[in-house]
Amino acid sequence: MTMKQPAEDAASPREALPTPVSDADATDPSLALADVWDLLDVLPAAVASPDMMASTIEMAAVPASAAISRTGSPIGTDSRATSGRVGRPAPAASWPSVRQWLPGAALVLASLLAGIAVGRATAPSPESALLASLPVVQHLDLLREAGSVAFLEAVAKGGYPPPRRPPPAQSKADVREDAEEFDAAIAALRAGGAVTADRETVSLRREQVLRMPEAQRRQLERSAEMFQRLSGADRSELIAVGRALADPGREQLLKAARLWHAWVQLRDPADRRDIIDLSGEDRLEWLDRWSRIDSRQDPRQDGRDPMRPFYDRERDPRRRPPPEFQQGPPQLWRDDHPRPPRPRGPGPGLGPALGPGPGPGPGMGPPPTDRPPPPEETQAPPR
Amino acid sequence: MVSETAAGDPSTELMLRVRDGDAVAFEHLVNLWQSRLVTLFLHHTGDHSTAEDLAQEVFLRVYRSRANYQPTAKFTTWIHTIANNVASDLRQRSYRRREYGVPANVSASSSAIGLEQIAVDASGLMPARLADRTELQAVVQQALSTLNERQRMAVLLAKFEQCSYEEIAAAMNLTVPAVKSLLFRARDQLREAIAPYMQGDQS
Repeated sequence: MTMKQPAEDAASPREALPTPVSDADATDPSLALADVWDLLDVLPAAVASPDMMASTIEMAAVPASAAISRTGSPIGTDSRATSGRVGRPAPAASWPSVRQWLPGAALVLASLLAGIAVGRATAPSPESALLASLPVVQHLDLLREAGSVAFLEAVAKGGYPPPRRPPPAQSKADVREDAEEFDAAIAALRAGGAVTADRETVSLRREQVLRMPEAQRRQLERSAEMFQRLSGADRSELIAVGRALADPGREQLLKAARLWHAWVQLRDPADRRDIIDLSGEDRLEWLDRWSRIDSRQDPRQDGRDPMRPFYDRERDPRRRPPPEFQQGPPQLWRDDHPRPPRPRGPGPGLGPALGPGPGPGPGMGPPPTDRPPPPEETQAPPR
Repeated sequence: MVSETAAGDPSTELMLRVRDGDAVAFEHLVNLWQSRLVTLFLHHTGDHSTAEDLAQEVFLRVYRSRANYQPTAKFTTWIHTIANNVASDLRQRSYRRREYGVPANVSASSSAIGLEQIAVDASGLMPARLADRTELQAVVQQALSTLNERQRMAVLLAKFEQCSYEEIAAAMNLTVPAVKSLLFRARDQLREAIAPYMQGDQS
């Protein structure tokens, strides 16, 4: 081991260490301080491996471009290594290194700022994206009901008839009002402008949203949250549907959407969401099935509505008795014989053996007459 | 001062040549210092391969900083400062990762456990059975490992590099009184650690 000679002008720690005689703890005869210090001499001097110098030279010969230290600092910026003092700045040694990396750092910073500026200019913020799709967000329910362009095209090609019956528990006025709301939504969608807009339109829409009443803005916020929860593909599909319905040149798709809306309205409101959530194929299957049922059982012919609950059929005003019951009971006597008077009220009773019944009895009812009973009394009462 | 230091220190002269782009001078510098640094780090870490890695790190830092080298101090002090920084970085990394095989760092406050362990280990190293120098080296190395990082580095710089108080203080960024106190406590702790062995030796 190569040992450097101590500097003559500096006090050597070995000289400064107390001798065993002067050391207060040296009263222990078993231990002398000099022995402790000298015991360190038994530690072996290490010998570097033969290839250490070669690998060190090789590692040091890294090109300057890649000479970023493992700590991430460029060459010469390790203040502790360059200053010769731990934690102490060495201005004379560190200023040149600052001059070395300062231009690079400034360039990186400028590039970063430019990137942020370009990114802000090109990439729309989430708010801008929502405002660009504001017509879709505003008419999200309508477009979700329409589903997709492919589905509307299939409905248009399918030639499905409109439903023959009105929606349950809805009057004709309700149906007409619903149709007007649908047309108004389509008109608003078309008046809302392009689904994706430029920056000026986005600014105008932002002002438009800010001018909205509080309730309408909250409704818009809920729709926006729902729109953002959709997947990217679903959002793109809704935007495509919005463009198709807003396009005056694609009226067949609008008719298909209106037809599908009428069919969906036949269901209870709680069931409509399940229908809307169906895939395009399932929607078509559902439409096929119910359009067949609707065509077989025309409510204008037999008065029965298969889509109406059974417990509600008795109250159906269109329901009438079967024809055989409408003709009345068979005649048991000839027309030239006088008919016996039809008792009014509960009647005279069950027979002579049981005595008079609880009815009014003779003298209390209306006087018998020879007039025939009214025709409705000859018919069986409706069930 | 600078000129005297540079003129009298061959390492400083080599470093000035390295700064001027002399690759051969760097090889000479590595050849001159590698065994010293490996020895320093070997006794500091207890592992030879780790010691070589740390010595290489010191040379790499020296080479990276060559352009900024100013012979304001002796090269010896400068490279000892770098060595101390490398050892300090190793300690911080091992503290963060808990995976480096550094010998147990027993501080002065918690040295009792280490000393007890030393005494127990030394019981198996009685003089009668302490036949060769290797076992003595193990005892001293283990006693050295009971020192904390700064005590151990100060002892190694003083003992193996024969640095003065001022040089140790400069390398470790301490004051001279602090170095004296550090070495005094290190000496006491070494004495306590080796005492069981010495007692057995005298009996």
